[in-house]
Amino acid sequence: MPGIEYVGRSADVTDESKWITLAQNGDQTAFSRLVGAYQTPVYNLAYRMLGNKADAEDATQETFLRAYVHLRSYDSQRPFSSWLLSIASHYCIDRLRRRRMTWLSLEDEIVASDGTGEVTEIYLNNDVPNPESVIAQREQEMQIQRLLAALSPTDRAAMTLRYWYDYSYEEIAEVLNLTVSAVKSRLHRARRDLAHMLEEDM
Amino acid sequence: MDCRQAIELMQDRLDGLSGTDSTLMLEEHLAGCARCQSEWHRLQMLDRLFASAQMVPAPPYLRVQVMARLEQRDRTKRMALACAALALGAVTLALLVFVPAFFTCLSTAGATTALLSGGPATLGQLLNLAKTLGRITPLVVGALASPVAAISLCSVLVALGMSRLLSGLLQLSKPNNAA
Repeated sequence: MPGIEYVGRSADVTDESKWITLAQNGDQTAFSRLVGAYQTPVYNLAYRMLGNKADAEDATQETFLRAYVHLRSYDSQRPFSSWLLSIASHYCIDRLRRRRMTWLSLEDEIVASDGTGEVTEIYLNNDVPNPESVIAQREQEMQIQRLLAALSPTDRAAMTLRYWYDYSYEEIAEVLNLTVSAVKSRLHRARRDLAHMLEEDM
Repeated sequence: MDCRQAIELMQDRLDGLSGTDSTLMLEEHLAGCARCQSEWHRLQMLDRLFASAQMVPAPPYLRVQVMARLEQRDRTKRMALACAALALGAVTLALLVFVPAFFTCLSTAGATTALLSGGPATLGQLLNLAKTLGRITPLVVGALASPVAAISLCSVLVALGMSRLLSGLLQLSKPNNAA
Protein backbone atom coordinates (compact mmCIF):
# COMPACT_ATOMS: atom_id res chain seq x y z
CA MET A 1 0.00 0.00 0.00
CA PRO A 2 1.38 3.40 -0.86
CA GLY A 3 1.77 6.15 1.67
CA ILE A 4 1.70 6.02 5.40
CA GLU A 5 0.94 2.71 6.96
CA TYR A 6 -2.09 3.43 9.01
CA VAL A 7 -2.36 2.31 12.58
CA GLY A 8 -5.55 0.36 12.03
CA ARG A 9 -4.09 -2.38 9.94
CA SER A 10 -1.02 -2.79 12.05
CA ALA A 11 -2.82 -2.51 15.40
CA ASP A 12 -2.66 -5.56 17.60
CA VAL A 13 -5.70 -7.67 16.78
CA THR A 14 -6.21 -8.75 20.39
CA ASP A 15 -6.14 -5.16 21.58
CA GLU A 16 -8.51 -4.17 18.82
CA SER A 17 -11.10 -6.82 19.61
CA LYS A 18 -10.82 -5.89 23.30
CA TRP A 19 -11.51 -2.24 22.46
CA ILE A 20 -14.42 -3.22 20.22
CA THR A 21 -16.02 -5.38 22.93
CA LEU A 22 -15.59 -2.65 25.53
CA ALA A 23 -16.94 -0.01 23.16
CA GLN A 24 -19.94 -2.22 22.36
CA ASN A 25 -20.71 -2.12 26.07
CA GLY A 26 -20.64 1.67 26.07
CA ASP A 27 -17.00 2.29 27.08
CA GLN A 28 -16.17 5.61 25.44
CA THR A 29 -12.47 5.42 26.27
CA ALA A 30 -12.22 2.19 24.30
CA PHE A 31 -14.11 3.77 21.42
CA SER A 32 -11.76 6.74 21.55
CA ARG A 33 -8.85 4.32 21.02
CA LEU A 34 -10.61 2.93 17.95
CA VAL A 35 -11.11 6.46 16.66
CA GLY A 36 -7.42 7.16 17.20
CA ALA A 37 -6.42 4.01 15.36
CA TYR A 38 -8.73 4.48 12.38
CA GLN A 39 -9.11 8.24 11.98
CA THR A 40 -6.47 8.50 9.27
CA PRO A 41 -7.80 5.71 7.01
CA VAL A 42 -11.35 7.05 7.36
CA TYR A 43 -10.25 10.66 6.83
CA ASN A 44 -8.10 9.79 3.82
CA LEU A 45 -10.98 7.92 2.17
CA ALA A 46 -13.32 10.85 2.81
CA TYR A 47 -10.76 13.36 1.55
CA ARG A 48 -10.05 11.38 -1.61
CA MET A 49 -13.77 11.07 -2.31
CA LEU A 50 -15.05 14.49 -1.28
CA GLY A 51 -11.99 16.49 -2.25
CA ASN A 52 -11.75 19.02 0.55
CA LYS A 53 -10.69 19.11 4.16
CA ALA A 54 -13.91 20.50 5.66
CA ASP A 55 -16.16 17.87 4.08
CA ALA A 56 -13.65 15.13 4.85
CA GLU A 57 -13.57 16.12 8.54
CA ASP A 58 -17.33 16.20 8.72
CA ALA A 59 -17.64 12.84 6.94
CA THR A 60 -15.09 11.32 9.31
CA GLN A 61 -17.04 12.54 12.32
CA GLU A 62 -20.30 11.21 10.85
CA THR A 63 -18.68 7.86 10.10
CA PHE A 64 -17.54 7.41 13.69
CA LEU A 65 -20.89 8.56 15.09
CA ARG A 66 -22.69 6.04 12.89
CA ALA A 67 -20.19 3.36 13.83
CA TYR A 68 -20.78 4.07 17.52
CA VAL A 69 -24.54 3.89 17.14
CA HIS A 70 -24.40 0.63 15.15
CA LEU A 71 -21.45 -0.92 16.95
CA ARG A 72 -23.57 -3.74 18.34
CA SER A 73 -24.45 -4.87 14.82
CA TYR A 74 -20.76 -5.20 13.89
CA ASP A 75 -19.89 -8.79 12.99
CA SER A 76 -16.54 -9.65 14.56
CA GLN A 77 -15.85 -12.16 11.77
CA ARG A 78 -15.35 -9.24 9.44
CA PRO A 79 -12.32 -6.93 9.66
CA PHE A 80 -13.22 -3.82 11.62
CA SER A 81 -11.41 -1.63 9.09
CA SER A 82 -13.61 -2.93 6.23
CA TRP A 83 -16.75 -2.35 8.27
CA LEU A 84 -15.69 1.20 9.09
CA LEU A 85 -14.58 1.99 5.53
CA SER A 86 -17.88 0.62 4.29
CA ILE A 87 -19.77 3.12 6.47
CA ALA A 88 -17.47 5.92 5.29
CA SER A 89 -17.76 4.97 1.60
CA HIS A 90 -21.54 4.82 1.64
CA TYR A 91 -21.75 8.12 3.50
CA CYS A 92 -19.43 9.81 0.98
CA ILE A 93 -21.26 8.28 -2.01
CA ASP A 94 -24.58 9.61 -0.65
CA ARG A 95 -23.05 12.98 -0.01
CA LEU A 96 -21.63 13.20 -3.54
CA ARG A 97 -25.01 12.24 -4.99
CA ARG A 98 -26.72 14.93 -2.92
CA ARG A 99 -24.07 17.38 -4.06
CA ARG A 100 -24.78 16.49 -7.66
CA MET A 101 -28.49 16.95 -7.07
CA THR A 102 -27.88 20.48 -5.86
CA TRP A 103 -26.37 21.15 -9.29
CA LEU A 104 -23.03 22.09 -7.92
CA SER A 105 -20.75 22.65 -10.86
CA LEU A 106 -17.62 20.61 -11.32
CA GLU A 107 -15.55 23.75 -10.95
CA ASP A 108 -16.83 24.21 -7.43
CA GLU A 109 -15.76 20.73 -6.71
CA ILE A 110 -12.12 21.58 -7.31
CA VAL A 111 -10.57 18.92 -5.31
CA ALA A 112 -7.23 18.78 -3.59
CA SER A 113 -8.19 22.05 -2.02
CA ASP A 114 -9.73 22.90 1.32
CA GLY A 115 -12.09 25.43 -0.17
CA THR A 116 -9.57 28.23 0.21
CA GLY A 117 -7.41 27.13 -2.68
CA GLU A 118 -4.86 25.62 -0.34
CA VAL A 119 -3.75 22.09 -1.07
CA THR A 120 -3.55 19.72 1.84
CA GLU A 121 0.05 19.31 2.90
CA ILE A 122 1.22 15.79 3.34
CA TYR A 123 4.50 15.33 5.10
CA LEU A 124 5.53 11.87 6.03
CA ASN A 125 8.26 12.83 8.42
CA ASN A 126 8.93 15.88 10.46
CA ASP A 127 11.59 16.96 7.97
CA VAL A 128 11.04 20.39 6.56
CA PRO A 129 10.42 19.80 2.86
CA ASN A 130 12.20 21.90 0.28
CA PRO A 131 10.03 24.27 -1.77
CA GLU A 132 10.48 22.38 -5.05
CA SER A 133 9.30 19.10 -3.58
CA VAL A 134 6.36 20.83 -1.91
CA ILE A 135 5.31 22.34 -5.23
CA ALA A 136 5.76 19.02 -7.03
CA GLN A 137 3.77 17.22 -4.35
CA ARG A 138 0.99 19.82 -4.55
CA GLU A 139 0.77 19.50 -8.29
CA GLN A 140 0.68 15.74 -8.06
CA GLU A 141 -2.01 15.87 -5.39
CA MET A 142 -4.11 18.27 -7.44
CA GLN A 143 -3.76 16.07 -10.48
CA ILE A 144 -4.86 12.99 -8.55
CA GLN A 145 -7.85 14.75 -7.02
CA ARG A 146 -8.82 16.25 -10.37
CA LEU A 147 -8.78 12.78 -11.91
CA LEU A 148 -10.75 11.26 -9.04
CA ALA A 149 -13.34 14.04 -9.31
CA ALA A 150 -14.06 12.97 -12.88
CA LEU A 151 -15.26 9.56 -11.71
CA SER A 152 -18.69 8.54 -10.47
CA PRO A 153 -18.96 8.34 -6.65
CA THR A 154 -18.80 4.52 -6.61
CA ASP A 155 -15.84 4.39 -9.02
CA ARG A 156 -14.08 6.98 -6.89
CA ALA A 157 -14.53 4.76 -3.85
CA ALA A 158 -13.32 1.68 -5.75
CA MET A 159 -10.17 3.43 -7.01
CA THR A 160 -9.42 4.83 -3.56
CA LEU A 161 -9.82 1.46 -1.89
CA ARG A 162 -7.65 -0.17 -4.53
CA TYR A 163 -4.77 2.30 -4.43
CA TRP A 164 -4.63 3.65 -0.87
CA TYR A 165 -5.77 0.55 0.99
CA ASP A 166 -4.45 -2.11 -1.33
CA TYR A 167 -7.84 -3.84 -1.22
CA SER A 168 -8.48 -6.79 -3.50
CA TYR A 169 -11.50 -6.93 -5.83
CA GLU A 170 -13.23 -9.15 -3.27
CA GLU A 171 -12.59 -6.74 -0.41
CA ILE A 172 -13.78 -3.76 -2.46
CA ALA A 173 -16.90 -5.71 -3.45
CA GLU A 174 -17.65 -6.38 0.22
CA VAL A 175 -17.13 -2.78 1.27
CA LEU A 176 -19.23 -1.32 -1.56
CA ASN A 177 -21.89 -4.05 -1.70
CA LEU A 178 -21.05 -4.90 -5.30
CA THR A 179 -20.25 -8.12 -7.09
CA VAL A 180 -16.59 -8.93 -7.77
CA SER A 181 -17.15 -8.73 -11.53
CA ALA A 182 -18.80 -5.32 -11.14
CA VAL A 183 -15.79 -4.07 -9.17
CA LYS A 184 -13.42 -5.44 -11.78
CA SER A 185 -15.22 -3.81 -14.69
CA ARG A 186 -15.61 -0.52 -12.81
CA LEU A 187 -11.92 -0.42 -11.91
CA HIS A 188 -10.76 -1.34 -15.38
CA ARG A 189 -12.98 1.24 -17.03
CA ALA A 190 -12.05 3.93 -14.52
CA ARG A 191 -8.36 3.24 -14.99
CA ARG A 192 -8.58 3.43 -18.75
CA ASP A 193 -10.62 6.66 -18.68
CA LEU A 194 -8.27 8.27 -16.19
CA ALA A 195 -5.20 7.15 -18.14
CA HIS A 196 -6.55 8.95 -21.20
CA MET A 197 -7.36 12.04 -19.15
CA LEU A 198 -3.91 12.03 -17.61
CA GLU A 199 -2.27 11.85 -21.01
CA GLU A 200 -4.31 14.81 -22.23
CA ASP A 201 -3.45 16.67 -19.05
CA MET A 202 0.28 16.34 -19.60
CA MET B 1 -4.42 -12.65 -28.62
CA ASP B 2 -6.51 -9.64 -29.59
CA CYS B 3 -6.20 -6.11 -28.21
CA ARG B 4 -9.18 -6.53 -25.88
CA GLN B 5 -7.55 -9.53 -24.22
CA ALA B 6 -4.23 -7.68 -24.08
CA ILE B 7 -5.84 -4.77 -22.22
CA GLU B 8 -7.40 -7.23 -19.80
CA LEU B 9 -3.94 -8.68 -19.16
CA MET B 10 -2.50 -5.20 -18.65
CA GLN B 11 -5.08 -4.53 -15.93
CA ASP B 12 -4.35 -7.89 -14.31
CA ARG B 13 -0.68 -7.10 -14.35
CA LEU B 14 -1.22 -3.74 -12.67
CA ASP B 15 -3.24 -5.53 -10.00
CA GLY B 16 -0.51 -8.10 -9.53
CA LEU B 17 -2.77 -10.88 -10.81
CA SER B 18 -0.92 -11.99 -13.91
CA GLY B 19 1.19 -15.15 -14.06
CA THR B 20 4.40 -15.73 -16.02
CA ASP B 21 2.58 -17.14 -19.04
CA SER B 22 0.20 -14.25 -19.40
CA THR B 23 3.04 -11.76 -18.89
CA LEU B 24 4.92 -13.37 -21.77
CA MET B 25 1.79 -13.37 -23.93
CA LEU B 26 1.28 -9.69 -23.21
CA GLU B 27 4.91 -8.88 -24.03
CA GLU B 28 4.57 -10.69 -27.34
CA HIS B 29 1.40 -8.81 -28.19
CA LEU B 30 2.91 -5.46 -27.20
CA ALA B 31 5.96 -6.06 -29.41
CA GLY B 32 3.71 -6.11 -32.45
CA CYS B 33 0.92 -3.64 -31.53
CA ALA B 34 1.65 0.10 -31.35
CA ARG B 35 -1.88 0.93 -30.13
CA CYS B 36 -1.60 -1.40 -27.17
CA GLN B 37 1.89 -0.09 -26.45
CA SER B 38 0.49 3.42 -26.00
CA GLU B 39 -2.38 2.08 -23.92
CA TRP B 40 0.08 0.19 -21.71
CA HIS B 41 2.23 3.29 -21.39
CA ARG B 42 -0.80 5.37 -20.34
CA LEU B 43 -2.00 2.79 -17.84
CA GLN B 44 1.44 2.47 -16.29
CA MET B 45 1.73 6.24 -15.98
CA LEU B 46 -1.60 6.43 -14.18
CA ASP B 47 -0.71 3.48 -11.97
CA ARG B 48 2.59 5.11 -10.98
CA LEU B 49 0.88 8.39 -10.16
CA PHE B 50 -1.75 6.77 -7.94
CA ALA B 51 0.67 4.33 -6.36
CA SER B 52 2.94 7.21 -5.32
CA ALA B 53 0.12 9.11 -3.61
CA GLN B 54 0.30 9.20 0.13
CA MET B 55 -2.42 8.84 2.66
CA VAL B 56 -3.63 12.18 3.96
CA PRO B 57 -3.28 12.10 7.75
CA ALA B 58 -6.29 13.08 9.83
CA PRO B 59 -5.88 16.43 11.59
CA PRO B 60 -4.79 15.95 15.21
CA TYR B 61 -7.94 17.52 16.64
CA LEU B 62 -10.32 15.17 14.83
CA ARG B 63 -10.40 12.54 17.56
CA VAL B 64 -11.30 15.16 20.16
CA GLN B 65 -14.07 16.48 17.89
CA VAL B 66 -15.51 13.01 17.38
CA MET B 67 -15.50 12.29 21.09
CA ALA B 68 -17.06 15.70 21.84
CA ARG B 69 -19.90 14.98 19.41
CA LEU B 70 -20.42 11.57 20.98
CA GLU B 71 -20.51 13.12 24.45
CA GLN B 72 -23.00 15.71 23.21
CA ARG B 73 -25.13 12.99 21.68
CA ASP B 74 -25.17 11.02 24.93
CA ARG B 75 -25.96 14.15 26.93
CA THR B 76 -28.86 14.95 24.63
CA LYS B 77 -30.13 11.40 24.95
CA ARG B 78 -29.93 11.59 28.76
CA MET B 79 -31.69 14.95 28.68
CA ALA B 80 -34.50 13.52 26.52
CA LEU B 81 -34.98 10.66 28.97
CA ALA B 82 -34.97 13.06 31.92
CA CYS B 83 -37.56 15.27 30.20
CA ALA B 84 -39.80 12.31 29.48
CA ALA B 85 -39.53 11.12 33.09
CA LEU B 86 -40.24 14.62 34.39
CA ALA B 87 -43.27 15.03 32.14
CA LEU B 88 -44.60 11.67 33.28
CA GLY B 89 -43.98 12.64 36.91
CA ALA B 90 -45.73 15.97 36.42
CA VAL B 91 -48.82 14.33 34.95
CA THR B 92 -48.93 11.72 37.72
CA LEU B 93 -48.50 14.33 40.43
CA ALA B 94 -51.12 16.53 38.90
CA LEU B 95 -53.57 13.65 38.76
CA LEU B 96 -52.78 12.57 42.32
CA VAL B 97 -53.37 16.05 43.70
CA PHE B 98 -56.06 17.25 41.36
CA VAL B 99 -58.46 14.30 41.47
CA PRO B 100 -58.93 14.28 45.28
CA ALA B 101 -59.09 18.08 45.24
CA PHE B 102 -61.77 17.93 42.59
CA PHE B 103 -63.89 15.55 44.64
CA THR B 104 -63.39 17.65 47.79
CA CYS B 105 -64.67 20.66 45.89
CA LEU B 106 -67.62 18.68 44.60
CA SER B 107 -68.62 17.42 48.03
CA THR B 108 -68.16 20.85 49.61
CA ALA B 109 -70.20 22.46 46.87
CA GLY B 110 -72.89 19.80 47.34
CA ALA B 111 -73.10 20.44 51.09
CA THR B 112 -73.32 24.18 50.58
CA THR B 113 -76.05 23.81 47.98
CA ALA B 114 -78.00 21.50 50.29
CA LEU B 115 -77.65 23.95 53.13
CA LEU B 116 -78.73 26.88 50.97
CA SER B 117 -81.64 25.04 49.38
CA GLY B 118 -83.45 24.97 52.74
CA GLY B 119 -82.67 28.62 53.24
CA PRO B 120 -81.28 30.13 56.46
CA ALA B 121 -84.48 29.98 58.39
CA THR B 122 -82.96 30.89 61.71
CA LEU B 123 -80.06 33.02 62.85
CA GLY B 124 -78.35 29.88 64.08
CA GLN B 125 -78.55 28.34 60.61
CA LEU B 126 -77.20 31.53 59.09
CA LEU B 127 -74.27 31.47 61.50
CA ASN B 128 -73.67 27.80 60.70
CA LEU B 129 -73.61 28.59 56.99
CA ALA B 130 -71.12 31.41 57.50
CA LYS B 131 -68.94 29.12 59.61
CA THR B 132 -69.10 26.41 56.96
CA LEU B 133 -68.19 28.83 54.19
CA GLY B 134 -65.33 30.21 56.29
CA ARG B 135 -64.06 26.69 56.93
CA ILE B 136 -64.31 25.45 53.38
CA THR B 137 -62.93 28.51 51.54
CA PRO B 138 -59.24 27.94 52.47
CA LEU B 139 -59.74 24.22 51.78
CA VAL B 140 -61.07 24.93 48.28
CA VAL B 141 -58.37 27.50 47.56
CA GLY B 142 -55.67 25.19 48.93
CA ALA B 143 -57.03 22.20 47.05
CA LEU B 144 -57.00 24.12 43.76
CA ALA B 145 -53.76 26.01 44.39
CA SER B 146 -51.57 22.98 45.03
CA PRO B 147 -52.27 21.18 41.71
CA VAL B 148 -52.04 24.46 39.79
CA ALA B 149 -48.69 25.20 41.46
CA ALA B 150 -47.44 21.65 40.86
CA ILE B 151 -48.45 21.70 37.20
CA SER B 152 -46.92 25.14 36.67
CA LEU B 153 -43.66 24.10 38.31
CA CYS B 154 -43.45 20.92 36.26
CA SER B 155 -44.32 22.80 33.06
CA VAL B 156 -41.53 25.28 33.69
CA LEU B 157 -39.08 22.43 34.35
CA VAL B 158 -40.19 20.50 31.25
CA ALA B 159 -40.02 23.66 29.12
CA LEU B 160 -36.49 24.35 30.35
CA GLY B 161 -35.46 20.77 29.68
CA MET B 162 -37.04 20.79 26.22
CA SER B 163 -35.32 24.03 25.24
CA ARG B 164 -31.94 22.60 26.27
CA LEU B 165 -32.79 19.39 24.44
CA LEU B 166 -33.68 21.29 21.29
CA SER B 167 -30.54 23.40 21.41
CA GLY B 168 -28.54 20.20 21.95
CA LEU B 169 -30.20 18.58 18.94
CA LEU B 170 -29.55 21.66 16.81
CA GLN B 171 -25.90 21.67 17.78
CA LEU B 172 -25.68 17.95 17.16
CA SER B 173 -27.09 18.23 13.67
CA LYS B 174 -24.80 21.14 12.84
CA PRO B 175 -21.58 20.00 11.16
CA ASN B 176 -18.70 20.70 13.47
CA ASN B 177 -15.77 21.85 11.42
CA ALA B 178 -14.17 24.13 13.89
CA ALA B 179 -10.46 23.63 13.84
